[in-house]
Amino acid sequence: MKPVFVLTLICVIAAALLAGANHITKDPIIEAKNRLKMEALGEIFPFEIKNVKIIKDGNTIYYEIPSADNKLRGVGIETFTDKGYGGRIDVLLGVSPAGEIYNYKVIFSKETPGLGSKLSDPEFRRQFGGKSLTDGFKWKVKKDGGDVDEITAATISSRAIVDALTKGLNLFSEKYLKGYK
Amino acid sequence: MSALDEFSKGIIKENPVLRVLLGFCPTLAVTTTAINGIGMGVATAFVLLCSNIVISIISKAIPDKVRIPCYIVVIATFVTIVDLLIKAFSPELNKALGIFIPLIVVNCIILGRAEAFASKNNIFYSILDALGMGAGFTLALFILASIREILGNGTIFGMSVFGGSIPPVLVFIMPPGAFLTLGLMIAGVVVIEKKMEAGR
Repeated sequence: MKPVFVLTLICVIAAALLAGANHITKDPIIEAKNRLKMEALGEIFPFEIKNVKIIKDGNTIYYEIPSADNKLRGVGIETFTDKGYGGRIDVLLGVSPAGEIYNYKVIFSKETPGLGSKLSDPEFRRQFGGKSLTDGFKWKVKKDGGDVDEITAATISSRAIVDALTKGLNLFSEKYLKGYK
Repeated sequence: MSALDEFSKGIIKENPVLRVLLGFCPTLAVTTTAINGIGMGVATAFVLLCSNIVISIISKAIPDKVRIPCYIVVIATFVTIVDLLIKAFSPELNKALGIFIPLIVVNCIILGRAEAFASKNNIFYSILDALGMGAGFTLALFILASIREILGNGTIFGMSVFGGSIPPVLVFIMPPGAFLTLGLMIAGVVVIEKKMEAGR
């Protein structure tokens, strides 16, 4: 019976320690996540953010940024793609009320450092500034006959980010632009 | 063996990666940038230190039949605590290492040291062993990651090395580059050791 007793005892102690660690770190983890989100929102909008309204619709989270007179000034959309070289890429996309891209930020990706990770380079992101679904911009990489300047040696990552961005823009126009069309 | 030997053996003579050839999975996977290599090395060293201390204390009370499950519970507990702490207090490091931290559980260096050393030695030597092995592991990861980052991305700690005059050799940042660099490092250590033996 001794082995059973010892193993049980060790597991009980381990469980107690883990419960303690979980208790201590629970709040800081949530805080850290929120802080990263707010930092990301600050990066993708060209204006200062004082107020954010978080809206959950289906599986998507929208961050509505109101202006001083309470009009919609921009919307952050959590979008993603599964077509990255390393699988899933999570993107936070900033859009104007008219459906034009301000900027985006890659929140999570496993793309190859030095290649696919260049999705986050300002030089690459700049080309999407002001683009929308309706202004004639062809949402494909140049290799596929579109207007997106792909990253050298990272075509798959480039295609993936186009997929994530168009997905985000479609979500936006479904939710915010339907009445205007 | 003297106390100093217990510490220093982990760095070169019994370096867990370069001589004992353990823990290749995290070694190959995370060493794309120098900072990732150091982060993984330090996190592993911390878990190794904690597990060596605890196992050297409790090993006499553990029946032989259940020793491996007991070691794994101890190691997994520490890994989970480290994971939670990094998530809570260093979200930046979590972003770089997040998916690899849980893998420390299956890093055979830690279980290997528990089984081969900490369970048979006292707490003082176990601490020295863990510090030495941890330092050796961190050093190996740091060198491997630096070589890959410099050659493959033209940077070190995110700063440009050649000022953009030499284009980076992309293969070094990709998985094949990890195998190539690690293989050459292991060969290099063997050559150095042979030379040292001949000179003695």
